[in-house]
Amino acid sequence: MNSATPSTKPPPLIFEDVTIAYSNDHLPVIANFSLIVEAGSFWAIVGPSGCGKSSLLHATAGYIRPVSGSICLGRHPILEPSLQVGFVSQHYALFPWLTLKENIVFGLRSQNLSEQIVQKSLEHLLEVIDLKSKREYYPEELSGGMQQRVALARSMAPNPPVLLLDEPFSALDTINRINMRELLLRLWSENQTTVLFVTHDLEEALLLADKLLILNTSRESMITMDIPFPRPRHLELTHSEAFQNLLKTSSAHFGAELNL
Amino acid sequence: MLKIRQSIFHVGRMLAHFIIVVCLWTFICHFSGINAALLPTPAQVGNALVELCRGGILLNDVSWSVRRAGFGLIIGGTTGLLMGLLTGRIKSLNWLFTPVFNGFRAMPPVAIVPLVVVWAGLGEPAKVFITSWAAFFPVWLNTHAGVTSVDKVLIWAARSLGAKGVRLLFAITLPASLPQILIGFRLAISSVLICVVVAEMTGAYIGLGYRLNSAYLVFRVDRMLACLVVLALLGILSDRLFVKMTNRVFPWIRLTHESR
Repeated sequence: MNSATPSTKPPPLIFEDVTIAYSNDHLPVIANFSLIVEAGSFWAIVGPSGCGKSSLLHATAGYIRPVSGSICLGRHPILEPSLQVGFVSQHYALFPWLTLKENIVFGLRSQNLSEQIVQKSLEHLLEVIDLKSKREYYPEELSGGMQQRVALARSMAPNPPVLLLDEPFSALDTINRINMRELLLRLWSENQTTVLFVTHDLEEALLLADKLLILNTSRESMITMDIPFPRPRHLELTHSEAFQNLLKTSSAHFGAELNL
Repeated sequence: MLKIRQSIFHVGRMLAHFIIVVCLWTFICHFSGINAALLPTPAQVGNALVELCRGGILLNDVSWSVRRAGFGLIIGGTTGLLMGLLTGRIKSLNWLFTPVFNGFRAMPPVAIVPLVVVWAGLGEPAKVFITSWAAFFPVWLNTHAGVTSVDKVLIWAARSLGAKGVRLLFAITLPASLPQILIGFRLAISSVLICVVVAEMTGAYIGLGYRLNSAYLVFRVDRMLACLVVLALLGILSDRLFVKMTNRVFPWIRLTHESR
């Protein structure tokens, strides 16, 4: 367990009639979207390019405001970015002027924690991401896979109730992808965080998540599905009949658009 | 080992450039038929340099010029940095000051020298004002541009990690703009050197510009060329020193040197 803050069951994430548009003249990227994301659940969001997956995450993080509707964490509306919602993007967004360890503790420093707790949390996360020996390195001295591990650890360090991941592994090679999936699941199970995970890879979505949200370009329709496979899930699961059937069912909803 | 080899190669290359220039220069002096009083040989310029060095004349001139340029760089650079941060971050100040600064920036800094001499006389404050003026605009412009073009993904990431207000400015905006700010300072160094020479030529009793002008008045082309060589060396040295210093203080910035 991350020692930054004591573990408590996080509140649910509630989307109520959310419409997101970048300009009044344009069609909304998300229209009248409603959903209740239970605390501690792991949701994967898939859909073709332009269906509004990233916009939905940006609004959930407080980076953009919905033109109507509300996104609430429990009873509190999300109006601006805060420590309550962590975000990991495809491009890592590490601060290049800070070393690996300074990047990881950046969020912890915002919480006015004692130095002892900060150091303890840092040591734990360095061990989890297996980069203890590289703590003094700058991001540009690390490989893409290492940078993404740091980005994940940095977002998880303040123990946010909600973690948003926007195609976090799409720039990584296969081995790094598999390692990062394991790391993500380990951190998720340790912290009881609610996870919204955007991906283009349906197989990855089914391997990682408990729930699947399929968005499509018609903007007003969405499909949610339960992913019933028990944990821990191994790669061999992808060869099972049940997995293949679920993959077929879910891919049928947007088929050719994802080039499966 | 590789570093030593690179250094030897670098010094060797500089030496080769120097020898080629001196040989070409000597060749032109001997075979072009140009009057020796108009184009002295490198040996004659060397003699003039030694002559100026005797009794510490040159050293005194260099130290005064460097002092004037240094004060200008500190005063103009600091003001430019602060104003750049303010106009880059605060819309009302941007609206108020940017058009004014752009108007002044359009004037070549050397053009204000006669006016400053008329208004402020030949004393040190006038010269420091001129060099500060010359340093202000490149630093202000680059700081303003750097601050306004900070990657929003970095700002979002920092805000998601709890940074806001002053911390966001000093921990994110300022370091993220630093590469651009340093370009501003690098440009300011050359601008300040130009202006200090012009200011000293217009009215001074000591300094490299004064020495150059007094050599011109007695038609000592060898001394004029000696002063120009010293100015060129000063320009190269200050630029190298700046790059080395910034690389040491900010190791994450890879400022590529023009000759590397």
